[in-house]
Amino acid sequence: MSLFCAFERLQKIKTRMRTCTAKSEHRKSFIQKLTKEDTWRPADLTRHIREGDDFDRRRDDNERRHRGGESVERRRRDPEKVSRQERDKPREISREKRHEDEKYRYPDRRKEGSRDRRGDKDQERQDDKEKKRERDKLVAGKRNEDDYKRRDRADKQEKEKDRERDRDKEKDRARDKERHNEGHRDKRGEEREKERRSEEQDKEHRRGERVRMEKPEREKRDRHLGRERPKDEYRDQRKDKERRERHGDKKDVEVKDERERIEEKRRHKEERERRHREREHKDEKRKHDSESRENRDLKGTGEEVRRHRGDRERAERDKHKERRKREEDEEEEPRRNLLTDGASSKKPASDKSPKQDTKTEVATDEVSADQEYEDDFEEYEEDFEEMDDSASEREDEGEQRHPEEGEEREELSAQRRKEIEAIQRAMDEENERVGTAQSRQTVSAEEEETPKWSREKNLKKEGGSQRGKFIDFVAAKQREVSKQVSTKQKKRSAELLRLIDLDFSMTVSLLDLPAVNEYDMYIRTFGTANTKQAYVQCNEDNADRDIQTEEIEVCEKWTQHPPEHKGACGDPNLSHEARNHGEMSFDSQRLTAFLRSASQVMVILLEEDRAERKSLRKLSSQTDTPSFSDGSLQLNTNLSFLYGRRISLVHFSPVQRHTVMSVHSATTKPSALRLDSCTVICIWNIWEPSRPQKVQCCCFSPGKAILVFAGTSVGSVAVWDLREHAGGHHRLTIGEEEWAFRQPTFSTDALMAGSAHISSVTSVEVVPSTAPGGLRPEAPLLASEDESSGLSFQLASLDEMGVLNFWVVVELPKANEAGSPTDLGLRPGGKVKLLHSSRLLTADRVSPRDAAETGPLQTLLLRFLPTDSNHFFIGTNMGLVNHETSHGLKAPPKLYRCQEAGVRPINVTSMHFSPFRQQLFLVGCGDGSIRLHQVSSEHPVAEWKNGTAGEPVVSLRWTRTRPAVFCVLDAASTLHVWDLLKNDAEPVVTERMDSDRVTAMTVFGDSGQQNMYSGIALAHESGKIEMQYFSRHFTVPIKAEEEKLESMMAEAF
Amino acid sequence: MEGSDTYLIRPNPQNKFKPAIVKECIREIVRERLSGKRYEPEEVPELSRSLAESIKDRVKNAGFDKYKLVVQVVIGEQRGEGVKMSSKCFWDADTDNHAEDLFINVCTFCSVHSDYSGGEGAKFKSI
Repeated sequence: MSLFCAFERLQKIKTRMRTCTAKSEHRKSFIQKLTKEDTWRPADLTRHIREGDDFDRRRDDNERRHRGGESVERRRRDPEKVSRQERDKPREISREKRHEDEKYRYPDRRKEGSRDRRGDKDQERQDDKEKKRERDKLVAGKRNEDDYKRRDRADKQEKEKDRERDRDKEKDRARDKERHNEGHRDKRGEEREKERRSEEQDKEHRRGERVRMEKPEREKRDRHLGRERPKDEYRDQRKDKERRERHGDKKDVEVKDERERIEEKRRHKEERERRHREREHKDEKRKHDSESRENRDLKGTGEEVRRHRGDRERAERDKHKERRKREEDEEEEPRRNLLTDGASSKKPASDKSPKQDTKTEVATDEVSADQEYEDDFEEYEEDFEEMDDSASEREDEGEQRHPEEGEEREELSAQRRKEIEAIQRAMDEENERVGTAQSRQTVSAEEEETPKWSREKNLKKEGGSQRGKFIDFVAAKQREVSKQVSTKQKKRSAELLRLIDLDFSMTVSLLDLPAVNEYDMYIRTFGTANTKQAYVQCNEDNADRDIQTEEIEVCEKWTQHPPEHKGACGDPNLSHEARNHGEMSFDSQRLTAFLRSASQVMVILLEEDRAERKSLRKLSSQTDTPSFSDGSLQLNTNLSFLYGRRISLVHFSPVQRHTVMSVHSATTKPSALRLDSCTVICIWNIWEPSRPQKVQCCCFSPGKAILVFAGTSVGSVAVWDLREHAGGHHRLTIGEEEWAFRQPTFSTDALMAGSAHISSVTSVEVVPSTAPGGLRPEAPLLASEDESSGLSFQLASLDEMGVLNFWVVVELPKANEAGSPTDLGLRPGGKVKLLHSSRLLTADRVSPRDAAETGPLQTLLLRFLPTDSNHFFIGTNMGLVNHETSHGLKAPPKLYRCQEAGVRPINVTSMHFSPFRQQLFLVGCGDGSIRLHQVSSEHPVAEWKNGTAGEPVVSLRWTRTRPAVFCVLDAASTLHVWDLLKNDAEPVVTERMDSDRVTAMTVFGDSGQQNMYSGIALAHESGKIEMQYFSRHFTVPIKAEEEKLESMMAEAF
Repeated sequence: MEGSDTYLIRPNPQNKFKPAIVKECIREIVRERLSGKRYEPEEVPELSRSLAESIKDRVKNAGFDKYKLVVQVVIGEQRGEGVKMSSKCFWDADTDNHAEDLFINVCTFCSVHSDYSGGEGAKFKSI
């Protein structure tokens, strides 16, 4: 018991030493790591050199694998060791603490330990003088040896072990003998390997114990025993050997062949453990068993790892070994193989979870152990200091492994040194393992060492090792597999990427939902309530057009005021063409025709309206209205330029019955107007009596409606073309109104004297162009274009000398504004001229005898037979009417005379053919006699000597509507109306107008069906022109009036 | 030992991804699942996820071998905001394709977009 206690004490001391060693070694190794991280460690280097061939071959096979695996594995060993060291430390401390109460029981042992240490130190000092490192290492090794020895001593009692030891000794001895022959190097290598193994075994064993240690308090005692014993046994085993080597019977022999011993030790240990387990089964739970088994598994794994590591070394060693210890090899190799197999077979089975469980248990254990450890630490401070140094030195030494080492050791004591070294190696190994194991526990880490561990761990973990550590194996394998897979995938992707083109070519628009505008939102919210959206589109094709109204058409126009000749407005774009076109398309003739007629109608209507009122007034006021009259109308002659003029002639157009021409003779009274010396012809429209239409000078006789012919007193014949524009004539503004005074368009003044009249023209007559015997057709109200354009007729003018000139009226196709150089009588711009056609001398026929009697014959009147223009009748101053023809034979009655024979110098003042019976004509004479002649007979049908009471006849006219009625005006201003059917001896009505003498008289009327009128125009001395309408019985013809007149004529003959 | 690998980098023509078919699939599923539904913010995440899953399953069964399918479902509420979505893929235009469909409800819109990429084929090792 006391021995056991002493052993315990010793062990505690040793543990402390080891702890310190572990710490220092750990520090050392860390430094080493920092400096030699990337380089080979000496040990590895030597190993590498030795294994050159093998290594190179492997490298050739798989360079990467070698790099990633082998070298990294080696490096990895260090952190594992360190962590295991660290892990072991607290365990030991905790163990120590628990046995603290037992310390006092082992004083002797303590002394012994101190003495041993002292001895060790002496030795070390000696070594220092030669080589410090060597010495330190040796000291450390010696110290360990001491520990073992102590333990061995304590375990002497155990018989089984003794038996085994004996067996070992025998083996050792045999081996040692052989080994003596070999070099140090081999031994050292073997020792190193063995040490490592033994250390690991030891450690694993202890860990198993520690696990078991964690038991409830009540089992403390049992556990203590159970825990300590295996360890003790194990240590004893080792100490046994060492002691035998050093102090035992045959020290020299035993020391050698550490490896063999370790193998044996392992065997012993296994046996022991088996036994131990059996023992523990009795008082401990089954759990322990499983834990220990796990531990064994772990240990097995560790050993396997170690073996792997040492494979090459072993291979080398085996060469030597084979010579000396065949029998052992034969024994061991199978066992080793067996172990290896077991480990390898267990490898896959050993999951991570059990390992981790173990670790965590360890961790909790350590935490509790830390406090206890502190106390012990103070106690043994001195030792620590010493051992720190020595341990560190030793570590370096062991790793560098100088070749001289062996020699030096041999000098001291070769066997012992070898032994020490072996132990050192084992311890190193163990420490390293412990350190590595502990590095995985973050909880138990000591403050000063924690950073180192973590750093170490980080550094070491970089390279994944397949075989480095059992814990990492599966993960490493997985890592390896995943690495392979990833490289495969990488390769695959690299190859594929070359084949496949990836691009961003397409961008797909998945959804483009525009924001809802306000109107839509409104409609969506409110649009469905009582409303309906509708729209109307007229132009359906253009529903999407914004502006749908028609384009506004624009065109440019201009107007001008006052308008110039070419029009009052125009278009700049279409300037000429449009204007010309407009003029071309514009039927100006039609328009003017329309305007004329329309204006005339309007004017007539207005005039009628006014005249009616006036006549009514007159009828009521005028009491002296002639009895025959039904009403009267006055032409407005009360004009300034007509004032004071005596009307010499009133004439109605034979074609246009409403047009009346009045000839106002020149006045002698001075007036303001220049027209005084001129005779003025006024053209009136009886429907428009208030003003004359045209005013002409120097006039005598009208012809056509549009042409006015006049013979002058100086022997010229003048023609007025009424179609000429008024603007081209001299205008006079008289009063408020402007009058155009026309100059004649053509005058024969400029003609040669031979062809012109040399005496005053007495009569101008148009030669009727119509065929003889036919009535002239009724002409329209105004001269038609045909009539005017196709006018080509003859004009006859008779002068006093009996010269009858025939003129052809020619209308020029084109007016010449500049005037004609040849036709000097043509007015510039005039289009009508007279061409002298023929000349007849009518007066020659008058016998000279007659002429002598009566004076020169004067031809006063010229009349053409209306039905035959070949025959014309000339009234003379002899009271005769000559009947002549313009060409051809002379007609039978040469002249018409009164019933009395003889020629009297009586002027024929008036002569008028009946419009109904054109064979009849009336002749009025200056003596007041009136004759009715028939063309065919020389003598008159009837003769009224006293018709006018002796007064000369001024004018004599048949009425237009009744064939049997005619009017006679005598110089006494007495108007006689004859109605031959009522009374063929004297006039039916005789009206005497004394107040205002009548100077000229003419009849007018129209026998048109709807508007039959008839009347007499009286020109008074005062200048008034009075239109007297006949009363009904003078207007409306009696039935068969012509026949009655005819029969009356026949009776007369 | 590892000779040059041969790859099938094109799908069979009959196995090629056909957007029309997939679009029909999407349309069917989306119509069936979404018609008449209102937008519920709580349900939508689950709904879109399940929609995507069911579309993916359906398309997987449509026989497009060697394809990896990506289905994206976006469901949103229509409240007048403007939405613009587009997608762009880094792919092999010869083999990969996409199909999309749009479903718009009175108050919901749903845009489904499936990208089909992959089709790089099996790998045959010639040893």
